[in-house]
Amino acid sequence: MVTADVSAGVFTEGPILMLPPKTHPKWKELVCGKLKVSFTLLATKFFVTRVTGRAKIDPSAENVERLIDEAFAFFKKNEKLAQKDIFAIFGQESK
Amino acid sequence: MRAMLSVEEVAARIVAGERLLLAGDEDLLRQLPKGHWVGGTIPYFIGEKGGVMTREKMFANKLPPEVISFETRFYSESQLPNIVADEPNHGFSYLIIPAFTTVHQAFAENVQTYASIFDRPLVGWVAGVALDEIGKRTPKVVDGRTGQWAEDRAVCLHASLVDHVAAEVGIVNPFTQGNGDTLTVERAGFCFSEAFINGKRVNLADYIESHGIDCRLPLVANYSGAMVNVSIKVVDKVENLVRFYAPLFPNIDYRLALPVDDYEASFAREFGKICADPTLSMNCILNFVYGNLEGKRMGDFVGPVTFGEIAYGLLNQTLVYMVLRNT
Repeated sequence: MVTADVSAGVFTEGPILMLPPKTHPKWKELVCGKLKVSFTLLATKFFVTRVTGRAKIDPSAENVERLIDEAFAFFKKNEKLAQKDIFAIFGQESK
Repeated sequence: MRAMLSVEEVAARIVAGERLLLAGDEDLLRQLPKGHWVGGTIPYFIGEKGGVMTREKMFANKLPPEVISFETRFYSESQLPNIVADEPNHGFSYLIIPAFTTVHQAFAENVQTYASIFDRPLVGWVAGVALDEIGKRTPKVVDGRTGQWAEDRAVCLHASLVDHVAAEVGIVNPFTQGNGDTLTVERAGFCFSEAFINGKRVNLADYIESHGIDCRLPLVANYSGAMVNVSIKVVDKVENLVRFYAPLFPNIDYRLALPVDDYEASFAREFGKICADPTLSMNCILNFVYGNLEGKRMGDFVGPVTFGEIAYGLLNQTLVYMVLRNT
């Protein structure tokens, strides 16, 4: 089990964190609910609840791949606002 | 600008070309000229001087200058899933739904299944009427651009923002999950005769009565750290079922909330963590009633007191806000 945490707060100063490619193992841990992270953004909390629920119902490789696509698209669209959440998931690897 | 204003004051601002989000009694909204505004009916507010029920003034939110353009559109029950496709690439969408309608129910039960619904900010509220007028008058929404009213459709304002600013939707929930039984259900819905308590099937009305549960406390679910309430509307002993103000969903664990002694203090504790001036906010009529918020201030969190709050989905007994952040 991987754990991470971020403090609640506002936007992170500094360079924009980059999203790792979809092949990064943390994506699968995220959508399968194996990554225990404290998220900051409300949208992230709702989104993660939805994808982990769907992975629990259908844990097939095809579905997990679809959910990773969905997660990547979510964080891409919210890349600037979700910096703390991206850091919470990927840590130093997103810098 | 977020303030309680008279009809004359709002009309003057509309004539001057201001872009407004309005909440007020139907009789007041009907006196306004056409212009750049949308609105919904409700006579309860958290104003600058605290919680108030009034038919003399309405609540006006002036769209901030960071909004570079906007579109308005009505949505019927069948059109609601299109809302995501209509959302601006960079901005936010502000939705008002009339209470007690099929569009209200359809949104609440299905919004979480809409593809990409969490990708862009969706905020709003459920229009209502004075509590003693439920069943006598109908909640309504209005598009001020056309002067068109609706009591069976939702109205949405899709706002585009300047590039360097992003909208963030958040919630302030005075409730947290208690440590009691876990309640689950088999299907999504507002009304249940049976549910599962710690995995065992029970009659829900009997369970609530036999356990002496305070129905002013919501059921609370933990959505990856976000506490989401579902409020109990009524325990119907004649039909032997329980009705809720928002749907319960399968595969979600609910627990009864811990009691809140002082709503005002509970909200105030959370406000300090937000670190931003809210552009929009709306609070729940149940907090207003159960928390005795009349005359009580909520810091900078002024706005309508509603029959349901929208932060991507339908919420109960929660304050919803939106802030603009420089990116």
